[in-house]
Amino acid sequence: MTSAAFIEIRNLSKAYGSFRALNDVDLDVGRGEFLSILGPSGSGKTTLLMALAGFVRPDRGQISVDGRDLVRLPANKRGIGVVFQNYALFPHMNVAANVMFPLRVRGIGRAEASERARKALDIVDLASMAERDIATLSGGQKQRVALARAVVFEPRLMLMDEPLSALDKNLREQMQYEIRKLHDRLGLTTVYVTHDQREALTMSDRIAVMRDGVIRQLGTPASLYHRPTSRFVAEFLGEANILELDAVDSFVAPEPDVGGPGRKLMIRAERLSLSDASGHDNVSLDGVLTRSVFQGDSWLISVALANGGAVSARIAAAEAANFSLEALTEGAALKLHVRRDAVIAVTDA
Amino acid sequence: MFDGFDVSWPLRLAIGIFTALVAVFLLAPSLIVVPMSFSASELLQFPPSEFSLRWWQQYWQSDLWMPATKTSLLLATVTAAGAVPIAFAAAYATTRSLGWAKLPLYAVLLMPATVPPILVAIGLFFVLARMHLVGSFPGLWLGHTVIAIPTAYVILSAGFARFDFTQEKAARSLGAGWWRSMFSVVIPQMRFSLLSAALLAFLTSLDEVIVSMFVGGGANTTLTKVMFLGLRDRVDPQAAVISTIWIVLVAIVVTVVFGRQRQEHS
Amino acid sequence: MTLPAAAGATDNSALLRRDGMLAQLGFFGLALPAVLLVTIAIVVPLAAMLWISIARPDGTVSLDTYLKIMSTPVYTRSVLTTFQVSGMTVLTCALLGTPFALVMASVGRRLASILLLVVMLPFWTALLVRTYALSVLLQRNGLVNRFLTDTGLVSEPLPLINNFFGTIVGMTHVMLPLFILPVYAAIKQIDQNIIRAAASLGASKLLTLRAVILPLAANGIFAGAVLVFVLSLGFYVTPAILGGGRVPMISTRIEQNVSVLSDWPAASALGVLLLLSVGMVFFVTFLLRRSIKALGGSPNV
Ligand SMILES: Nc1ncnc2c1ncn2[C@@H]1O[C@H](COP(=O)(O)OP(=O)(O)OP(=O)(O)O)[C@@H](O)[C@H]1O
Ligand SMILES: [Mg+2]
Repeated sequence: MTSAAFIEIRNLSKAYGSFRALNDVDLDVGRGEFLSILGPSGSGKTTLLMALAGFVRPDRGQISVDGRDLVRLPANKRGIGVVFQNYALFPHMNVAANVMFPLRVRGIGRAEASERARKALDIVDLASMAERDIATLSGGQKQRVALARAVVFEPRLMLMDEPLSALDKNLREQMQYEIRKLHDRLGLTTVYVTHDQREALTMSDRIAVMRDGVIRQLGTPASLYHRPTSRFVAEFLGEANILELDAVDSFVAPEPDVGGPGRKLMIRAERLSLSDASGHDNVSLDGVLTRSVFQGDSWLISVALANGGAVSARIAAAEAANFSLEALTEGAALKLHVRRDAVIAVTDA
Repeated sequence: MFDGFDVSWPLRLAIGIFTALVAVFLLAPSLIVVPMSFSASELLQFPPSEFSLRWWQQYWQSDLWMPATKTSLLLATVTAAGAVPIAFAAAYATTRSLGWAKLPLYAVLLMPATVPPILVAIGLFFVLARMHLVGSFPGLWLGHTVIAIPTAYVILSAGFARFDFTQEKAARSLGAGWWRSMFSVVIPQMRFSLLSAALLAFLTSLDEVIVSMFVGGGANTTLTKVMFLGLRDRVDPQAAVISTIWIVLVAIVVTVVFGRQRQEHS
Repeated sequence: MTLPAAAGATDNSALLRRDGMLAQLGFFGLALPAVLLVTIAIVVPLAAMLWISIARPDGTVSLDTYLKIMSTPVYTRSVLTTFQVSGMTVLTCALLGTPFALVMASVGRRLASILLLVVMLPFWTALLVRTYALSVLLQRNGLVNRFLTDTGLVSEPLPLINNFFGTIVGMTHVMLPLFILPVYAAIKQIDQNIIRAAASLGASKLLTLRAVILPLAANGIFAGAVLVFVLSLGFYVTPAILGGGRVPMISTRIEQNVSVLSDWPAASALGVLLLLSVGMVFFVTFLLRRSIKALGGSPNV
């Protein structure tokens, strides 16, 4: 990371009793970046985010934003916009009053506050609902009000903790798009917590994968997906086949330092194919098909390998069409092909 | 509850009569005093043989009942004004924080409700006597406020248990300081709990007998003390007037509290 | 995974710990006024009472006062009476309140809320008002006695007041709402499916009541009974008025010792005994609950 990172988190630790929720976390976020924190339940995502927002007091460590350490600053002095999972809109105020709240708190006059609130509501397409009561809004509308309220005072940083988890699938996908659009439009540095890997892959510039209070890997969605360094990250982000190092004939570890005990091979299910596309450095795996499941756009087949071990392969409908149905029935012997650079060495944890 | 069964009609009738009798037992004492207060007779009887407003007139002109009424109402008001903020602060603190200290604090704050009131009364009498505060208004206030604290605390704690503290976090993240978020976000949303707590603290003070007996006196004699002494000596028809006023007051309060509960549920 | 610490990064754990402690102190500060008031008005006086009950004039400590109380019939009788009145009140409350709560839980919403109002209204009617009204109803020529004589059920008016009976009626009236509410809450929590299941198994109503509902409601009945018993132990107003001086409770003896006899040591010792009784009930309750849990039953049973 460059030393000019917008947010610099160093050695951040937080224990609840003997349980370490954050364990010496280091993280840099660039200015204007959309960074997702991804991890299973209890991995410390919320704790990290709330430490940034000022609601969790860490045991030690630095959090600096724009070069200034704010780890001891009270939440209301940090100028950070936060969108909470349940939106936390104030039910005793209408939409406009909610959005005006951060401005009124800053001593901005009613007229100007109202004008700026209107603009913010405009951005989220809710200008017509300014006078509505919170209780009358739908989930998606509440979400937008919460967004408008969090950006109206022009925070230097925006934090969101699983903001879409209360919405149904379609609305969630639409809001993912809109949140990202809002981010691009305002250029607001955003830290976004989710435990939905697809959401993280879709929205982020970079993703930090957390587990047990530690950031296990940090990188762009593509690099994390294709080049996980650990079995955990590989399996968390997608369908991963984990094999012993000797499962692939003539496998040469792509990185010189990888290998030895505690290492495994990882192949993404969709990188395995039935046809041997020429022009690439491919490896092949012999095996017997043990199960095949038709899933509409693809077939998911399980194959017991001749060298031991088993893999699942996702065969796209277009490719599967090239094969007879018999070739995809259980017990059929087959050969799976995979590009050599799609065989990744990972740590076994 | 017994949807799976059909209850035979004699059993139904028996259950109905029993329930009605218990209901009458519960309600009758509260209700008979109203017509009694309009009785014309010196003798206390129910139903009254003749009606008049004489007891109401006498009450209005009485230099015993009227000052006591004023004292009691004033005392109940300042009791509510004292107990509610004090209990509010304590309930906020125990809900938000104070992990290990919660249980001991809980025990201390509920003490006024678990220690028999006669002991609270003589104990206060003993302490206030040292400070020459027996018969004083502050002495009464102290006693009543302490007795009202558990009720207010329990109601407000229940309110805070339902309160979503993310609201407070949201206010803070939007730039509001502690006081600002308290007054523009927390308190407005706790208003029904605060209202209930205030009303019940008010009623608790108005209802309080023993501390008023021992600690009150002279110019600071409460209604309950006058009534209690009157009742111990003879049955005074004047008490029916006071009781009627009281019952109307309670009916209003209960309706308000019930109405708001219904509102909250819908 | 860790990056090298940023230049100039210092160990700020001491500062952060101090911040945390200050915040915690702030919360204690918020609870302080309540604690202070209770301490001044209750803790200190109770401690003073304990001291008075064991202190001799010369400053030494003894249990003389307690021994005197144990051997004085006036006091032992009041202890006995207190427990009799409290036990009797619990009994009548259970007999009247349990069926009433059952009915409340089984009728429709509308009727249930009316019955709840019936319970709540006296609950918040002034104690003195209720006691006053009962004394009018129960007096020699009161409504109840007139009804009894007019219908020929009795020839002479019964003594319904200024005695043990009147006290129990008054105490029951005061305590019944306090008993009904927890029982009602407990029954309401019973899973309706259990009752339907019992019905489908062909259990008769009485059997369902005995085998299914009452054991499940026992938690509420137990809580209500403990509450009523404890509150009755220290009750003063109702026995004083409706007992007409013939039902000497510990509380009335304490009052007399202070305001008539100015015998503070005796009053204090009685007070300590009363407090011990209350504490003992709570302690026994606690033990019972724990042993029920230890036996593998849920505290609901
Ligand atoms: N106030 C607290 N007291 C004790 N433990 C806590 C507290 N807050 C969080 N924890 C623990 O710290 C760990 C991390 O919690 P955190 O809320 O950060 O997880 P998360 O990654 O956000 O999980 P989720 O996806 O479920 O929201 C959890 O095991 C949690 O139980
Ligand atoms: Mg979380």
